Amino acid sequence: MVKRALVALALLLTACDLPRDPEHTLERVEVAGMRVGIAPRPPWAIGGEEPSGVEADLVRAFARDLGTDVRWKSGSASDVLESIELGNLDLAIGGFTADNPWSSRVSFIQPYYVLGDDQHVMAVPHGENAWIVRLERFLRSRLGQIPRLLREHTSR
Amino acid sequence: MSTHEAELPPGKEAFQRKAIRLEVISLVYLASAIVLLYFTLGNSQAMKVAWVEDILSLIPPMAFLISARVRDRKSNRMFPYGYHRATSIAYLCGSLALLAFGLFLLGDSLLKLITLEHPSIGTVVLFGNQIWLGWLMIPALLYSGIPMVILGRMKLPLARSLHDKALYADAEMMFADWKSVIAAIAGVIGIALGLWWADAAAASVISIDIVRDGVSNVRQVTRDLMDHVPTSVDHSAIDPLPSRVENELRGLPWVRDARARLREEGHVYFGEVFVIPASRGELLENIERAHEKLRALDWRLHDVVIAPVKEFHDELQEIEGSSG
Repeated sequence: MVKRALVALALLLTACDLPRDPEHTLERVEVAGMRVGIAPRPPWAIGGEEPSGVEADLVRAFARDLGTDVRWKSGSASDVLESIELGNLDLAIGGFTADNPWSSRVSFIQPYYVLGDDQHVMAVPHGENAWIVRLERFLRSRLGQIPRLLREHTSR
Repeated sequence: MSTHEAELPPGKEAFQRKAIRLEVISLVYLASAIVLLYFTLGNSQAMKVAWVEDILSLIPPMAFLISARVRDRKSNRMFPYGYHRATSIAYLCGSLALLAFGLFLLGDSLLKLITLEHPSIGTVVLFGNQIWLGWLMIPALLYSGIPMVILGRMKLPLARSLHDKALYADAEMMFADWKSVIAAIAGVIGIALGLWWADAAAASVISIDIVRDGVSNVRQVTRDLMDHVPTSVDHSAIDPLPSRVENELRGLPWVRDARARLREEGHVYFGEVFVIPASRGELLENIERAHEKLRALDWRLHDVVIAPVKEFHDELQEIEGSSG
């Protein structure tokens, strides 16, 4: 009873568009496109003209879900994470795991997939909570497809 | 002149047992709240401060329970005044911890404001639903706060009738917890509304409250340890007991004048009463009887020495305000 009331309340509150982003990332992405940094690390992130890999596929599907498009920026892990910290990118992928030492400078989302000891995460700017919630919800909805994506990109 | 063996008169023993029971309940309850808050901390500074505050709230009940065991030990050769000060020492340690943690948390929270730190709070999966963690923080805070207020409220009258300042400080702190809960909830709602600073601002407010508690407790317990004149448990008024003692003795036919000098040790009073006898016939018997009269006057007069003198020392001035 209490459980249901709590869940109902939480869903209700979420329905009034809360939480919001202090820097309006989600709104901006929906209008102006998603700026995504990619640090190559197969099979999660494979660079190139048109990036691929498990996470690149997930990001493209996320953009489709939001009705927007992706602008890729390739670089080393520290390059893309620094751009996140400065607010020049909205999202960074590169096979990052939850034990990443950058966690004080950028926010890593809740692990969306666990493989062995590795808790796989993506990086976003600090405090953009609507953006984080939207991304985490999307990734959870695609949880079932990840093993297949992983097989595809590993065998290539 | 012997020391009383029992600390409390029979009527107060029941209050003491009730206070002990409430403190045990407080500890168990706090432990559950601490665990619950731990799982909903997220990156919220306000939650972190509220959590540390709950951990610090463990100290006063523990100090009370430990001192309740220690202070009843009989005085002995090595501790001729007994173990009553155990309460004050426990209280001093708790107050210092409160002050130190309060200052640390205040600095930490202000630093987050200055460095414009934006708290990130993501989702958790609860009963198969993916929920923003912020929404779970609010019920967790209410769970930790509401019973604390009730427990604090229940302990206040007990602290008064037991004249126990450590218990009083604990009850007051727990009762004041509602302010922290409201501040922390405001911080979480602020984050939800996209106000990144709300969280650290709420955390600063709670920290200031912890610092204030620490400062006032350290000040009060230091006064007690310095043998400040006895006061009511909330320190708002000077206890009229010393002047009642003086009046009681002045009413005796063999006493020309009396001056009492009392100090608090824990919840009981120790001290001396200097008496200028009008007549010296049967002086020892008179003193013995006067001593019994004082014991009957108030249970807190635990160990009072009556000393006959020719005249009072200069420093034995009438204590200001003690006539009320």
